Amino acid sequence: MEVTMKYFGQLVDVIGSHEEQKSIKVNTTDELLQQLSENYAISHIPFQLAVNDQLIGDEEAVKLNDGDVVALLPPYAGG
Amino acid sequence: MKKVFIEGPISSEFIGDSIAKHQSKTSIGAHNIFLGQVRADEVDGKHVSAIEYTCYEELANTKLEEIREEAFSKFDLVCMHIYHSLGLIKTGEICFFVFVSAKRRKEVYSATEWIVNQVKDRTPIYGKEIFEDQSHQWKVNS
Repeated sequence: MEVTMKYFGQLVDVIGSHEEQKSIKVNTTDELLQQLSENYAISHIPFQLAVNDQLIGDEEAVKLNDGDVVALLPPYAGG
Repeated sequence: MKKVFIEGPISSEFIGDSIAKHQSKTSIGAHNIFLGQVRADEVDGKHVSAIEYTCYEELANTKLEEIREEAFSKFDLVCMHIYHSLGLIKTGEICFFVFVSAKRRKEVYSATEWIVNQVKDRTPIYGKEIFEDQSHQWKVNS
C-alpha cells in the first residue's frame, strides 16, 4: 500500500525530506516505525505519531490503510 | 475556522489594525496583548539571525480550535485572536500575537497567559534557528 509520510523539526534533517510517498509492505504503525528506525538514525529523537491528523498514543499501534497520512512530530516549538 | 497562520512577520500595522477593528465592539472594557519576538540567542559564540517556522497545519488548526473553545469556556471573554508566523522571521520581528478582549481587566491577564502556554504546548509548530553563518539548530521550548 501507499502512504504519505510527513516529517517535522529535527526529523527533516535526519530523513532528508519534509514529505514522501512510501510504498510499504507493513500493516501497522509500530511495524512502520521499526522499518524507519532501521533505515534512519532516528532513535535519539523523541516524537509523537499522527495518522490522518489524529495523534496516536505512545504505546498504541494503529492499522494502516492505503492512502493514510502518517506524520512524525518531535516536541513542539511554537511561539 | 479562524485564520491563525500568517506567512512572514506580523507587522505593527497588522497589530494596530486589529486593535482598531475592536472599536465597534463596545461591550469590551479591557484588551490584553502578547507579542512574541524572535530573540538573537547566542549559542557557542554564534547568534541566531532568524527563525524559520513550519507547522503541521491540519493538526495545528484542530488544536487551535480546541484551545479557542476551551478559552471561552474557562474565561469570560468577548473575543480572542491568535496569530502565528510561518516562514523566515528575522530577529526583532514579531512571530506570535495573542489578543484577548473582555468586559473587565481581570479576565484578560489570566486568559492571555493560559492561551500563550496552550499554543506553545499543544500546537505542532517548529522553529529552525538560523545563525549568522547559515548553520542551524532546531528550537526547543523551555
